[in-house]
Amino acid sequence: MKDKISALMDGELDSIDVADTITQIKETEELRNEWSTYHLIGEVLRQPAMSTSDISSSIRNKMDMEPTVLTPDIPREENGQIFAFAIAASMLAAVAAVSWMGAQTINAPLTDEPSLQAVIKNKFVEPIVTSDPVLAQKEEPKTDKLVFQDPAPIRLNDYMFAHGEFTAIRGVSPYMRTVARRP
Amino acid sequence: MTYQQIIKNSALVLLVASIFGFVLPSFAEGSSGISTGAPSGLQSIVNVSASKEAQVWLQRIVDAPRKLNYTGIFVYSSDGHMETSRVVHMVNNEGEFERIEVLDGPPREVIRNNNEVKRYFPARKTLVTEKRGLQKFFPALLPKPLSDLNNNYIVKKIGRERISDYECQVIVLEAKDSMRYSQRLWVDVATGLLLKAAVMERNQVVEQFVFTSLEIDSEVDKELLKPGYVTRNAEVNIINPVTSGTVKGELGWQIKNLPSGFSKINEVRRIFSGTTTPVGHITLSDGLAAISVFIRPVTKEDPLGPHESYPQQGAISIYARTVGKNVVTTICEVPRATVIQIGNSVKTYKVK
Repeated sequence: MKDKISALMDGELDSIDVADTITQIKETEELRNEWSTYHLIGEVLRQPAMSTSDISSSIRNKMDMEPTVLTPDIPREENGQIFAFAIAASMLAAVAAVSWMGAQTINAPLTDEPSLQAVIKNKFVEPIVTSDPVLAQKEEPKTDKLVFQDPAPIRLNDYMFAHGEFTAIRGVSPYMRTVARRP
Repeated sequence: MTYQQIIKNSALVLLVASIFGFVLPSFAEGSSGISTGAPSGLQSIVNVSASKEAQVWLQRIVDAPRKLNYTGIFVYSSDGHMETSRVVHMVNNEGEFERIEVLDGPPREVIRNNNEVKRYFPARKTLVTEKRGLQKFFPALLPKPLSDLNNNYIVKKIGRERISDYECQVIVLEAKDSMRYSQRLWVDVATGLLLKAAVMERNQVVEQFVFTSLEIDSEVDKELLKPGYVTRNAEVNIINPVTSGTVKGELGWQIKNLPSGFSKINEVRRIFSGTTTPVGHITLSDGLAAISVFIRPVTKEDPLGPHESYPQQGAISIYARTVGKNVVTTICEVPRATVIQIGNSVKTYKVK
């Protein structure tokens, strides 16, 4: 049930499941609590990190190094499909391994090499290099969805894992950084 | 405060600054970035030493897991999703041992035994074992990235914040341009362990990780490091062997027109699961963000277009293209425009 609540929050449930899950949440206090806890955690996590001190110097630094750019700061769109990871730091290395695991969906063929290509062939999109950030943002959710309806390509996952070994600040775990899909 | 006190205090600042200036280079060996564009005067001495002090914190982050036992739960989020995992980490005279279990969704585990990493997928009865070539080239790699940081990032020590009931020092690595992401790190003051980290693009959090509960330096029950599933039942057993090690220049590939601040770190050959064809793997870094370029021959099954790109996933960007009869895949934790620029910079000496 927790899975369903989580999926509901992420907009990943189909309509029948949505109705069913909402009904159950309505009826059960425990699930209502779960629901609000998830939202609380989500909100805390989504909060941009706050700078608590030394604001003036950071502003000064920023102004020093930033060119004058006349484009609006577009907030990242939240799309419910992809769960990825990339933070260069030691503990995170461990985390990355986990996110790698996420990429291994249940039915993904493991030894079937061409699957990567099969997936990519149809799902790859032309890189969008555009000076208009709005356009780029609009395109992404659609393509994300397409790519990850199929099992994550195995070769790509191997690449991801191998990539992790070379990340700068890590220390513990050799693996870092990977793409994953929420199961 | 009297005049004399002020003078005394200023003298103390100078003294502290000069001590840092003297002591710290040993931590950031070969550091050359600090002189880049540094202003003159007392303020600059203080700034430089503050940056060096921040680097000492970074070194602590790197060192801490090699010395500490810990168990905890962490939450990791990106693109509006989150996932909870449990980690058990133990260090003894035999090395480092670690187990990570994903607690949400289908069960998955990673178990690390020094340089051997096993990944379990109980639902698929699958076990992947990888032997890492870390000891071969890793020690040589480490000092360079850390010392290059100052060329591409403004490293700053900010205030202190409490995370999971531990007092943490906040360190910011602010990207000097839009070719890379900024990072914000929360480091346990007492142990140097990283308890929270965020990858930032301007003011937006791209990805974040945080411990929600943690016990540091406690006795670790060895039982907790064992896999939670009977691994001999694995029906699919994959072993990814060690890389062949460094093969400088032998791959026959070069990367030109790199975005500023990135340079080549290493070149190896790898063999991946289920294949016999070696894959070239070139790594680059700007001191913090790592870039991997994988090069393999095109096979019959993959008639890729000349330029292919995956959508951005959290902080990871992936870009593939065909060069001659090879597929060049670039993976890195940089904004999309950067990965495309790097991917397009890969050239072969001898296009087939």
